[in-house]
Amino acid sequence: MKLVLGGPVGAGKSTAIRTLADSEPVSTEMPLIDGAMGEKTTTTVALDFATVMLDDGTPLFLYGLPGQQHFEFMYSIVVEGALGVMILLNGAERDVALHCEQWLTNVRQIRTSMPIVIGITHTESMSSFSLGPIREAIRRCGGPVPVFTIDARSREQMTHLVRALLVAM
Amino acid sequence: MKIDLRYAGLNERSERRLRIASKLLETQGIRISVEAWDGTRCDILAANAEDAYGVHALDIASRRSIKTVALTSGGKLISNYTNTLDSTEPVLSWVQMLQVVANLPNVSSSGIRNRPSFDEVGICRLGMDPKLRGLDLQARIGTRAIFISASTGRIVARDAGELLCMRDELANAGWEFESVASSSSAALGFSASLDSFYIEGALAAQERLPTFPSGALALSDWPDLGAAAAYVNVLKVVKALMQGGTNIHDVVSTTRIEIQEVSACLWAFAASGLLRLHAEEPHGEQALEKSSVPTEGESNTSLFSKLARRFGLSQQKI
Repeated sequence: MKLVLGGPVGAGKSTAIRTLADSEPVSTEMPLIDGAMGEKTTTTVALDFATVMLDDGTPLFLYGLPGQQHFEFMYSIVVEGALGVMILLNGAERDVALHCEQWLTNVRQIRTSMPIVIGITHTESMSSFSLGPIREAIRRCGGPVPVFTIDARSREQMTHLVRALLVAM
Repeated sequence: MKIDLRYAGLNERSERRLRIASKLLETQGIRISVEAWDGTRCDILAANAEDAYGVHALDIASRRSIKTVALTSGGKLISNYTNTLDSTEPVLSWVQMLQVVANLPNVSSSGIRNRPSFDEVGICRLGMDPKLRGLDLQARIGTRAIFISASTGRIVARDAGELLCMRDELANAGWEFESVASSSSAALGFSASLDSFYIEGALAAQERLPTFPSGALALSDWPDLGAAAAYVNVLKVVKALMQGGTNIHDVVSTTRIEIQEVSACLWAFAASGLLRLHAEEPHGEQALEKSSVPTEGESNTSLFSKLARRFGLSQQKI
């Protein structure tokens, strides 16, 4: 069983996996060649992997896709057979609605009926953040999809996002 | 209002968060005394559910019908207790948990108000008045003000404390609303999810809100519920509404959630501008379709049930 976390660079996928995991995730983080992007100093160069144990001992595998475009070839491989996809987007980015549409389209191309939820990070520091364009993008892509503003460091909020995915199935 | 809050088995960090959360509630006119538990009676006990002494204290408190908050670290789910909190959560989550456990009324420093009428209640006006619903507004009550930006899905206030105070006034009368441009919020510093603001305020005051009117309903978009993670049942209400035009009684029947709680959710969604009123009535099949969320009576061996249990979805409401 697996859940996949996707989204552009800097959205908080690695952080989210670390938050949800029952143990330390397998990480493929390397320093950014071009220097830090704000607080972000590393990037995922393969994929993140972690495990969440269900109460009967069954493992749920979490896969975090790398956000950089040259890793797109692995998306369909990793997403295939997933229970659902959690798309994380960086609310501080100007093109967040565009990224939303791109990722929804990418996932739906792999499987039209794939359950999806969207988590928007970094909104607390953005007084100009607007959910409106993101909701419009979701409607254009055949909506409805749960979209929550979240803190990827908060286990409670990440758990709630997973709950929304389960409810949306 | 005074609350006697005791703690047991907490580390220094958790104790500090508990004290900060209690201090923040003082801005709402609620005095909370925070002391180590000494085995005597109190109003609320917050204890470490991963510590032997904390577990011992929780057991004694439960036998005495004292309200408890069981603290865990790293979000480990412990099903023995009604109210649990991850001790690594931000202080705001601690504040919310204390409010839920204490079932705090919407009391400001001016004291308890008389129950307002339907068309005076802040959140009801926001949900029903077409001149207010879904618009960008400056909202005032007493000396406090916030900016409601329905167009962006955000609520903006001077600071987090101000936001909490205003949220707890949603079921009161005395609100003044003024339509403003979205740029008016620039002077205020603290921004949060509007949908979560309404949901938390409505659910905290659910026993004081009127029942949402009958009529066909549907949701246009998923509400932003990330910051309202303590309220699991809201997801079930959203699911029922997203399935097509329905009404409050069908939602209650489908979700098996009490009408008071469902009604509070509807007031919140209406205030956000997400609830479509007088939507098309569902076809017969849709009206009979059940929520896919597992209930106590369904098989516990299914994959979905295991996932739901692990992530706290099939547990009862807080």
